[in-house]
Amino acid sequence: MTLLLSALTVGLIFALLALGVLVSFRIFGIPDITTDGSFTLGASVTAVLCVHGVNPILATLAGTLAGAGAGMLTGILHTKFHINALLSGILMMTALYSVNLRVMQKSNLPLMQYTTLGSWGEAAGRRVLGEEAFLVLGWRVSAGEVALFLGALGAVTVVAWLLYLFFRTHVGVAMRATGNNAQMIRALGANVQVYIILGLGIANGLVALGGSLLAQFQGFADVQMGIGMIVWGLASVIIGEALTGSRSLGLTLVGAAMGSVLFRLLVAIALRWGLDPNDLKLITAVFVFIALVLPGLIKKLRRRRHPVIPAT
Amino acid sequence: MLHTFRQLSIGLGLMALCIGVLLLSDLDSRVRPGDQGRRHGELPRVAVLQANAQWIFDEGVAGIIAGLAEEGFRDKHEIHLRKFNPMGDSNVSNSIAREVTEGGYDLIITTTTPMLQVVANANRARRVPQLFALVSIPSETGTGVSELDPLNHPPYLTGYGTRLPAAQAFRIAREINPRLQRIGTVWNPQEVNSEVQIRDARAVCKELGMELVDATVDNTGAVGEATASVIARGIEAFFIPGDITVMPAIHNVFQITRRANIPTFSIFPTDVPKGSLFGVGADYYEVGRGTGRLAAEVLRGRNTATIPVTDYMPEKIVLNEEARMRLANPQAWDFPESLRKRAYAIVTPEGALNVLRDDPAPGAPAPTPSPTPAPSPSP
Amino acid sequence: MLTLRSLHKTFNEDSPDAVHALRGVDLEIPESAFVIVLGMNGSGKSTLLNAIAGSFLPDTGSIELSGRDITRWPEHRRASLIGRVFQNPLGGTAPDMSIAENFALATRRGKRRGLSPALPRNTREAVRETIAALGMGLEDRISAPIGTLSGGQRQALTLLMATWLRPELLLLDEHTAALDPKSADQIIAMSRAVIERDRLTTLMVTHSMEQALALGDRLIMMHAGQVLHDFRGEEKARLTRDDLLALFDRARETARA
Repeated sequence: MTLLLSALTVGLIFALLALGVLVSFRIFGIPDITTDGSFTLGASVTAVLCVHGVNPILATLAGTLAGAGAGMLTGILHTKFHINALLSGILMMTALYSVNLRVMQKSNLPLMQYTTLGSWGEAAGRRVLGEEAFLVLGWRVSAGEVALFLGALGAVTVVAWLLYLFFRTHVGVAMRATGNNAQMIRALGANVQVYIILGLGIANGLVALGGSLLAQFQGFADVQMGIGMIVWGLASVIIGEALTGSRSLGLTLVGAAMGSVLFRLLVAIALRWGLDPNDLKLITAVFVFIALVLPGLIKKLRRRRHPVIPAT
Repeated sequence: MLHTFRQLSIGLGLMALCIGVLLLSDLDSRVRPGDQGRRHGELPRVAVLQANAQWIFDEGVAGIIAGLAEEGFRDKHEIHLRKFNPMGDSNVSNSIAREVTEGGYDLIITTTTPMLQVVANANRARRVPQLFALVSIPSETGTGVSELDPLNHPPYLTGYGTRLPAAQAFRIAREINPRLQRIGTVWNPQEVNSEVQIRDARAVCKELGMELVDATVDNTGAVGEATASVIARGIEAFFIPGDITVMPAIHNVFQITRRANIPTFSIFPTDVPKGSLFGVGADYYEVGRGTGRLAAEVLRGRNTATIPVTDYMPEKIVLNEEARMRLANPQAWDFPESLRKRAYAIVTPEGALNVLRDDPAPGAPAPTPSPTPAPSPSP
Repeated sequence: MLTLRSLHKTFNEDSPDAVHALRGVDLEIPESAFVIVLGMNGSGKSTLLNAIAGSFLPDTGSIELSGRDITRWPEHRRASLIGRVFQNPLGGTAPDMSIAENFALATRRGKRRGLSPALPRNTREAVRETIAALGMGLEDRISAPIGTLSGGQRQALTLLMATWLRPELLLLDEHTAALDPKSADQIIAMSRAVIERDRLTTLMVTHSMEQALALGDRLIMMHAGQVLHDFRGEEKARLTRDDLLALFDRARETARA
C-alpha cells in the first residue's frame, strides 16, 4: 500500500515535469534539454534555502523562479543568438551542472532534518488525521504518506488548472500558435522571440517546481538527480497523448499528468515482480515505443473492420 | 462532458488496473489480528543496493555477498538475496527505496551516500534494519548519525564509514622519506570530498612537522598551471587528491611533475602503474566483506541499536619501483621493508605489475564493534 | 499612403550567389488603391512584398506607411498596419488549433496581447456569424482543428482573418496560385468583395494574366528588381492580354541583351 501511495505521489510530482516538457516540446516544438539542469536547479535552490531556515513555500517559489530563469536564458540563446534550440538546451544544461554545485556547495545536500514542505505535509497529516498510522482496507498506512499524496494531488491539480486558463488567454493562444505556425503569428503581430523566451521560462519553471518538490519529498537534493529527466518527461507526454488521443488543450494537460502517474505505477509493478532495475531503461524505451505506435495501429485496425465506402 | 470522460477512460482504466495489481500483490502485508509481519518458514530476505555500475561499487557489493557467505548465509540457501541498481536515476532509486522498505525485507544493506539517504528517508516509518557501507562520512549524510558519538544513530540504522585515506597517504609518504618537508597539491574547494581530504592532510602534516603547499582550481583545464605554480614554490612530493576536477588531468600532472623530478602519490592504487610513486586506497571489496559479516550478526539476532557506527578503512597499497628509479634521487625514496610487506602489489623496475597477495586484506579482520561504548573515532 | 523610396536589397552579399533583388524601387500608392504586381520569376515581385511586410530589412531606402516610417520596424510590429495572405494556403493558419482559436488570434492583430480570455462568448458568436456568411457550412465546426480543412477553405479563412481588423495595407502574395481553379475563383471573388467593402489599399502579386486584367485599378510590372511599367486608371483598363504578353517579351529581350 505504501508502495502504491508513494508511486502515486512521485508520479504526481513528476507530472509537473511532464507538464513542463509538454509546454516546451508539444506547444513550442522544442526538445529542451535544459530540463535535466533546471530540474536539479529547482531542487538545489530550494534545498539550500530550506537548510538556512527559509520558509519552505518561499524556498519552493525561489526554486521555481530559478528554473524559469534558466529556461528564459535558453530561449535567449536560441532567439537572440540564433543557436539551434537543441544546442541551446545542452549549453544551459552543461552550465547548470556547475551552477548547481555552487549553489549547494557540495554534490549532495540532505534535507531530512530541516523544515520542508515534506515535513510540513507529514505534520499536517498527523494533526488532521489523528494518529501516526491507521488502517485503510486492512493496510497500514501512515498519515504522513496520505498527507503528502493529497498535497501532491492538490498541487498538480492547481498547476494544471492554471495552465489551462493561461493557454486560453490571448497570450496563451498566441504562444500555442507560435509552436504551430510561427510565420502566421508573426504576421498577426506576435513577437515570436519574446514568446519563445517566456514559453521556455514557463516550461522550465514547471520542471524546477517538480525538482523542488521531489527533493523535499525524498529528503535530499543531489547534483545528479536531474540526469535523464527529459526522457521521463517526454515518455509521460507521449503516453498521455496515446491515452487521450486528442489535441485539445485540456485533454493534453490531463493526459500528460496521467501518463506520468501511469508510468510510475508500471515501474512499481515491474519492480515488485522482480524486474532487474538495470533493465528499467530498456523497458522505458519499450513502453514509449508502444505508446507511439499503438494509436496508429488501432486506427488501421478500425479502418479494416469498417472500410469507408465513398458516397456514390 | 461525457465525451471528455470517454477519452480519459482508457487512461483511468489502465491506472485503476495497475493500482489493483499493486494492491493484490500486497495483500500479504495487510495487518491481520495477531500477525507480526513476515510469513513464517521462509528464508530471511536481504536487499543489497548500489548506486550505479562503477567498479568500486561492484567490488563493494561482491565483498558483501562474500562476507555473508563466509558467515554461513548464502543466497538461495540460508537467505534470499536481491540486488538493486538504479543506474544513477533518482526516479528509480526512489521507487527502489520504497520497494525495499515496504516489500517485506528483513535487512537492507546500502552502498554509497545517495542510496543510504534515499532508503533512510523511506525507512523512517518502517524501520527495517539497515546497514550502510561505502560512505565516506556517515555523520554528514543527514541521516541522524552523530559525528561525536558513534552509538548516537537511529536505532535501525548503522554501518561503516570509509574515510578517504588521505591521512594514511601522507603518513606513508613520510615513512618512505623521513626527511620529507614540503608536499604540494591541487584541489577544487567545491568538492566536499576534496575538502575533507585536504583537511585530513593538513592535520597529518601539522602532526609530523611537514608543510602542505596547495593551489585551488575550479576547472580541469587549470590543473596544469596550478601544478606548475605549486612546484615553483618548492616542493619535494606531490599529492593527487581524489577530486573529480583534478583526476581527469592526471596525465598532465604526471608530465609536469616528472619533468621537475617530483614524485607523486594518490589515494587510487589503480593509477599507480601509470606513473605515481605509490598509492594507498580503500579496499572496497574488504569493506564490503566486513559489512557482510556485520550483516550476518544482525541476521543472527544482534540489535542494530547496539552497533556503533565506525570507520573501517582496510588499506590497499601499490608501490611503483619503475617510477622510483626514474627519479634523480631514488635512494631518498627507497621503500622500507615494512611497507613492502603491507603492499598489495609492486610495479617492478621493468614496469611489470607484481601482485603480492591474493587476498587483498592486510590480515586483520573487520572490527566487529563491541556492544559497549565505542572505540575512538578514526583519525 | 504607401511610399517606397530607392529600395535596395541584396541577398548573400559576400558570396558568389549574391542576388541584387531590389535595385532601387520607387513607388507611391494612394489610399484605397488596388495595385496588381506582375513580373517574371526572379523579377523581385515577391521580394517587394516581403520587404514591405518586414520579412527582412532593406539595405538602403525607406518605406513609409500611413505617415509612419516603418523601414526599420520588425515584422511583428508592422503587423499592426498590414494584413497578409500567403501563397501557401497552409501558411496563414495554425493547423492544430481550432477555427475559433485562429480567429481569436486575428482579433488582436498588431495589438498587445494580455491575460484576458481569448474566446469570450461574443467573439465566438461574431466568428460563427462571419464564417456562416461564407456559405461553406463551416460554422458548425469552429471548434475543429483548422488542419482538417482543405487548402481552399483555409485560404478563405486566412483572408477573413487578415481583414478582420481593417488593415492599412493588404498584401496578397499569389494567394490563389496553389489552389484548384474553383477554389481560386471563390477566393478572388471574396478578395474583391472585402477590398471593395472596406476600401482596402491592396497590393496583389499574381501570375495570372486573367486576374491582372480583371482586378485592380493599377498595374505594376517588375523586372530585374525595378518597376519597369506602371499603368493607372484608364491606361490599365485598356490593357489587353496581348499587351501584357508583349511587355513580357520585351522585358525578356532586355534581359538577354
